[in-house]
Amino acid sequence: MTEQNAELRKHSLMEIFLTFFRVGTVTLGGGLAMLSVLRHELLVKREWLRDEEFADELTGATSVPGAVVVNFAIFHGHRLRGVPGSAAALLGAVLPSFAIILVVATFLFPYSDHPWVSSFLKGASASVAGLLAHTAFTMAKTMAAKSTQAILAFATAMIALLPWIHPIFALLGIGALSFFLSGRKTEDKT
Amino acid sequence: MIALKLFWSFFTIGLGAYGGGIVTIPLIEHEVVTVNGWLSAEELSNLIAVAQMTPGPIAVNAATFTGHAVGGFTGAVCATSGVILPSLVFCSLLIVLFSRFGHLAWLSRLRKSVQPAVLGLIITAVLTYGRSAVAGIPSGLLAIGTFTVLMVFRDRVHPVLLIILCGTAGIFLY
Repeated sequence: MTEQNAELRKHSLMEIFLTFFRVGTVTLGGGLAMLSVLRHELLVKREWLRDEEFADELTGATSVPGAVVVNFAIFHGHRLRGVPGSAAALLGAVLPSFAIILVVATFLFPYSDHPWVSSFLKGASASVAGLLAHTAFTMAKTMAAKSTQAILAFATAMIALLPWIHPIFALLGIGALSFFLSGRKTEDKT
Repeated sequence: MIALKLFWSFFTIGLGAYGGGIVTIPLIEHEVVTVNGWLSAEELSNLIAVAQMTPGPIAVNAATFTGHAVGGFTGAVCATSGVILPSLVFCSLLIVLFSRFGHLAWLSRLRKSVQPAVLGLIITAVLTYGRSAVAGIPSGLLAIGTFTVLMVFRDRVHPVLLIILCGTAGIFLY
């Protein structure tokens, strides 16, 4: 416990704030589309966590309502430095979009229907679709290592795609089923 | 009064914002255009374009923008805090739950069990996002190109670089 704390103390609040500020500054699109950037900044560049831990925190961030980056910042900040860490990460993640929107709203909004803007966006969103597919692929290695888990993941996707079902029920239903299955497996072993 | 209304409206949007950006758009439309008439439908579609081009979650961008349009800086702060509050509440609950009871075997098993379902939601996002972003051969190629580059070069390429490259290609393609 103390050893773990000593290791976690390495990160100053300023460092946490700046890291999430950076993530907040470069995450175009938003929602799950920014997972790729989040993973690159935290896991590849800073090595703050491994794929398993990323999967773990992503599970928390996706299971509760709210924007995924914001949830992720709260969880990860807490993991690094407790409540102050959460606050630093949250501020860092939200401040860039807040500030930029104010600037855009004041000066640039009239230009938002310029044809270049919409064609840039078309290309950029196509790219984000590719990024997202790659993240799903990478996360599948840690989140669905077994074939049962892969089937459950696909079942969740199929249910969540039905327009009349709120995705949270897909998560709760399949989560419960998966919990039940994993319980049976541990009983079999003993 | 308007500040409070903004806060409340975006609080409900934050509560419903579940499963990523695209899912949130109908909620924002409902609150901002239909119920409160803060923006026209056309202003909203411009806002969504801007939200996708500017960093940060769409819900947060929409909150700041609408708040600013309706109630100036105070409005922007109120709406943005409103959209974040559900995150704070639910994340704190989960953090407390896991720090109190995290040692219980069934709880950590539950946590592991939800992972495939979360992956399923990411796959859903790939499909819904892909359906709206990829239309026709050029955008299909850009999406496949991005995916391939990432598969080949793995973590050596920064994703934002690819977004900007494809956006620039978009200017020439469309």
